Amino acid sequence: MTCTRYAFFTRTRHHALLALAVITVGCITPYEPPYMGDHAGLLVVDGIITDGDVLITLSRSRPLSSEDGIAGQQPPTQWVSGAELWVESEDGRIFESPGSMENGEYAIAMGSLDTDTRYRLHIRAEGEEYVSEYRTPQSPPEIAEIEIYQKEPGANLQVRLDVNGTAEQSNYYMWNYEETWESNASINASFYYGMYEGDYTGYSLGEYLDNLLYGGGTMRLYPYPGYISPFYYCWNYGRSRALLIGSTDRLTENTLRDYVLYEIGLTSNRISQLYHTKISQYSLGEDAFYYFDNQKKNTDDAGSIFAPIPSEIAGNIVCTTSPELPAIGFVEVSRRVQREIFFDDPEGLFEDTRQPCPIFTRGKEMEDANMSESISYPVGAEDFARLDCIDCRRMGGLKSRPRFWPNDHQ
Amino acid sequence: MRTINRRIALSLAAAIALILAPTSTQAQSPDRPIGVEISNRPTGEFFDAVERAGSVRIFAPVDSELDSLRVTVGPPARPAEQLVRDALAGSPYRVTSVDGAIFILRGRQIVTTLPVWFYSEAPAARVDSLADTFVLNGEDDRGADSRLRVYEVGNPDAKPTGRVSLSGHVYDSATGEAVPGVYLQIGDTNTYTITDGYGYYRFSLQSGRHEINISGFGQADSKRQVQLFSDGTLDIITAEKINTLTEITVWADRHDNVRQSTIGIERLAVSDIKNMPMAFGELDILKVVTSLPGVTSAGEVSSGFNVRGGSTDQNLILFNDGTIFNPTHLFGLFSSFNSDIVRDMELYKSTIPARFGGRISSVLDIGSREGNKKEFAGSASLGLLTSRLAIEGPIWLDRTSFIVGGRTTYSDWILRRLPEKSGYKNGNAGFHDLNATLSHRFNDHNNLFVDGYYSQDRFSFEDFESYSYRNMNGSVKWRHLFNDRFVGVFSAGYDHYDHTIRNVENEASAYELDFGIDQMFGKADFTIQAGRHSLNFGLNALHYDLMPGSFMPHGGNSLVAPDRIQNEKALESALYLSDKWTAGERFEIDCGLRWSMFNALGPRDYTTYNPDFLPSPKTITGTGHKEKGVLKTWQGPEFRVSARFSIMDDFSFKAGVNSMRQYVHKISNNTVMSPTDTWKLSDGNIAPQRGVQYAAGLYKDFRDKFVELSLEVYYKTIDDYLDYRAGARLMMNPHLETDVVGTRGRAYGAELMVRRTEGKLNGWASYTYSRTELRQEDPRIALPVNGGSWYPADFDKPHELKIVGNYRFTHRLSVSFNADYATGRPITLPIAKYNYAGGEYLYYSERNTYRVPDYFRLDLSFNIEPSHHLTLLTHSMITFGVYNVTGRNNAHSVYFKQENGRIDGYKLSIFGVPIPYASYNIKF
Repeated sequence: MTCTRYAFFTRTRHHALLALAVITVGCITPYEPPYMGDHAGLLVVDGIITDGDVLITLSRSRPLSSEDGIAGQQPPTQWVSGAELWVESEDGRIFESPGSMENGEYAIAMGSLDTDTRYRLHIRAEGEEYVSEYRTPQSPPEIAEIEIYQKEPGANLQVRLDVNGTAEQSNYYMWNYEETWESNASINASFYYGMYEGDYTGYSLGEYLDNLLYGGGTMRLYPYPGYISPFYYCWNYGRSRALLIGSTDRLTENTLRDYVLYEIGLTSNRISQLYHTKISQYSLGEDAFYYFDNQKKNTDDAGSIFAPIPSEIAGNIVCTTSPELPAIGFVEVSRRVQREIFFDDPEGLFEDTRQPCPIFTRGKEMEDANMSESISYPVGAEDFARLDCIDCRRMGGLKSRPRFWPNDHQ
Repeated sequence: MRTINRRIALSLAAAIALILAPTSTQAQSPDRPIGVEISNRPTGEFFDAVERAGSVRIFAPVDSELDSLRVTVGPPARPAEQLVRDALAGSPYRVTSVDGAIFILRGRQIVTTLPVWFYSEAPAARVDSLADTFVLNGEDDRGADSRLRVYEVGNPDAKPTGRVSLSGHVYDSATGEAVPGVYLQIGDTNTYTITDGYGYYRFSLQSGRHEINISGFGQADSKRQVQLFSDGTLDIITAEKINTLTEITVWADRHDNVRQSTIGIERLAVSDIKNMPMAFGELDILKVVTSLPGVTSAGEVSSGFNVRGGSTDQNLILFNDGTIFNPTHLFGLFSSFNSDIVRDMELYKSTIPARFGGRISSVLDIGSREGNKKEFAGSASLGLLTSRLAIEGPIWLDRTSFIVGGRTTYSDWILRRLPEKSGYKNGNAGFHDLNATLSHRFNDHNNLFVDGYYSQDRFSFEDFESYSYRNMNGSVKWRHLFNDRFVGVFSAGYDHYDHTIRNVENEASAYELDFGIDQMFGKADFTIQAGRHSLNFGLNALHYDLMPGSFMPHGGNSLVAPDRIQNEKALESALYLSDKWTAGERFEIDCGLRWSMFNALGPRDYTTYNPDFLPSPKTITGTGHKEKGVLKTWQGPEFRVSARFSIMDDFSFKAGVNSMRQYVHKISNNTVMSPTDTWKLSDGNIAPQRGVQYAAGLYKDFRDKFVELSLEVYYKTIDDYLDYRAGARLMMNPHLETDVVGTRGRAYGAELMVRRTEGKLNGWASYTYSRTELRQEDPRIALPVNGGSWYPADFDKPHELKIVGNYRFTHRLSVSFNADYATGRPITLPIAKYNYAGGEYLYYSERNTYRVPDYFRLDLSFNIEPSHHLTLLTHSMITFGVYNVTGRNNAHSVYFKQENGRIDGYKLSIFGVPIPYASYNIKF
């Protein structure tokens, strides 16, 4: 129990800062919520019915606290696999998912949405049947422009977009994005030599190097002009990690100007070489927008006591077999527009905060760096570096080059 | 022949001198019947005859009219005084008999006892005011015989006309201040009255002999015997209650519950509640209010209070007629009212008199003291956080007085002593307030009051960010008695509230955010007494000028785009009439009608929306500009009806209905009242809030045990209460109508209260069952809260038990206690979490389906008064006590925070440990 003087601040979403505070002898103690009934295990339906490949994710809500209480081990996400899932249109067509992939994901090939009919999602999972509400596809306007922009020196990069909608189109938008970026190792190691010897007969070069690299320790550099290390170039893949929604309903026109969708920190290795993002834009109905907006508010503001009272708004999914059973999520139906952009940091804004990669010379320097040298070296091997400096995979990258990548890195 | 000494030109002073002279030399009783027969003879001849026959002396003025008057008297034999009185009946001359001397005066009755002011430096003016009334004046309670003496009021020769009027003022003998709220009751009957805010009372009575019992409101109990002949006045001077071993502090006035027709009124005098245990030892009026049944507060640091299921903005808080928009200092730790200045307060929970309007839940009417009209006095208090000082005194003895009081805090030094890591070392917070009241008594028919109030709060936690807010009020009030049945009160004033947030964290985005509201008001209120009817009527006008928000750059380098939302102006006016009709001993009914009208005024831009949809930018049908005149009018009647039926003398049943309208709405979507709340006026798109309350109650007195018992039940509906839509933007929003939604509310409950007014142990205990529920039932709302069904409001606390008491061991040592149990308030808790769109989200229960743990708190305080000696120059009181004795960690709030990828729950308690305190108060 901490009894102290404290203050609470609430930062509102717009420019004004609103702070409310209390200075007194107050106590903040951990609070164990009462048993709240069996609200865990509700079906969570995440996805949007759109053109082309539709990805629906099914999972179960999980309790806030485990048996050890809220401070105990947090339960892992419970993905729902093995469900039957299909999209049906009001005019009788069925678009079935071939089955679950990993992490509760279900893919459905929708083709192009027909704006003259209505669609809904149908789920048969673990003995219950759920349907979403039939909805006519929304038609979003194109993304007029994407820009990656630094507002002022030192500030994060903003991924901004412009949209010019018409009065007939919805005022409410949802986005998600897929990002890809090239991240290179700090040092292009021309030659590798392990710290320990072993029998690598029958191994491919790749396997040999893998064993070598993940065996730990340092790596030896050897000059070999013109050679590019196979672990120098990597690619990273990311997806939006939050609900991204926006509206123009307070604006006189259905347009978004310099709308900041997300930000990239200057120290992120996303911008160290070449960054690519593909933004998908959907239109939402007003009800869907406020459902998602409320979801965001409920979680973003949860930490402040003077925050608005959280409330749960029902989504558009009902359980037909047990109508009293709530399901979480809102399945909107919208066509999809996409736009992509490459960014190669022409102004050199990237701030490399990775650990420095010193090159050690054999002998005293290595001892000073606490690197043991109990092995023998081939003749001429004089320089050494840490593994994470020469292998991009150690920094989370993958050796899978996207087909569309514009340079010839391998 | 009349002797020369009979022919004194009488002055009252001379009369008094004569009375003082020993006159008991008469051998024969002056009451002995004498027979004098005379027919149509001059008065001189008649007086000589009476003097001879009755061994009395008659004093009469030198007056040609009296000389030329001819009188006729015959049998039977009567006492001399009666004989003279009968002979002069029908003439303008009045007869007074004192110890065998008969005085004859034109149009006046002589005061036969010493008036209270005789031994003090009473001004001549006081005498004048007596001179034109038929008064045998009331006197000091220090004279025991004032209770036994029969005061003759009115013209004894007037024909008995049935009901006559008795009126007057009640004054405090020590300070000369008029005493409001004194309960005057005729014998043991149901006829009673309570002095108004100016100490004025009026009875409508049968002529004849009556006993008036006087009690309550910090005054010693007393009584007066009155022989009532015709309409007249009787000023009553009472002593402030001095506690003796058998007579203990009264916590609130008694008796009135059973006999008044009004329901749900709480009256408290500050003198009665000064022993209540309080956090930091500071008497706090709002905290006392929340200890009353039917009143709840959202939390310990929330300044707002909720009355019978109303929200915090539905209470009209009046301080000397001025509206107070933010009644607290330091986030609700202290109320804005200086207890040295406040005389009393009245909280109307149910029956709201027709003269009040503009809020739908309750009226809290706080009055400041008048100031001592006799001598300079003062009080001071030193506390850990605050200091107070009040000074009062006469400017013109017995006529004009002032009272000035101030409070200030010095919490900065506490903040500075905080450790570096607390984060508040750079913070500062402070407040001060200032009150001044000037009152002037022109005469008994005209009083003038000038009140001023100023309070300011400032606080900041970092150097770059500061908050401040101010209340300012000023008013002038003139009270005029047209005659003793017709009183008028005229007042005018100005109210102001504003707050400012300033942030200079980043020079380029430094800003200042302001809100302000100005009000000008004028009121005329009249009361007419006519027989069994008491009519109250008048008109109010209130002009609003509200600045909803301005967002301005601060400093020369700020790049903030100036933004200012257009001002809202409006006029709220009301006409009202109410009649209290005492149909008989058993039945009394008070019917009131208030016609209230609200005109939203130009200049302003406006927007119209398609009425089939909730206002939103998509449903705009047009925009326009109104330069001057009325943009929109809302109007309607408000009914205020209450009735009392006495089943027995000490047992009554009451019922009533009240409807109210409110045109100004507080804009804030958290449960506590915060210093950054703004207000919004009704306009073309935002309808006024309307409330109706039905209430009934049973009231029983056990008089011999000084115990009162009451049970009240109520049902209340609220329409167009403003709730906020999902994603509402409340600050700097020029079209707030697109972010709010009208909500329906209902509240019902029962309040059971037992109160002991006297005895060693006194105080009250109350149990309240109450529910308050809201519902979004407008069919235009796409996604109503909780699916459109009823849900409990944030301040819904079904069970509440409150005990407030004082036990006096000796008259110098007493212990006060205060216990409060309440069901925990509703909250909305996250009940699960889930993954969505790549992030983790919380899933909440339906709104307000869970509750924070139940609330319990016990406070104790010991009060020591070292000496009661009246002649001491200063009187002091030492109080020490403990707030939250059990140290219970009451939850003010429960919240969840995502930290290091984990969601943790926290409970916040404001006063989670016992807080000892001591205070030293001094009166001089």
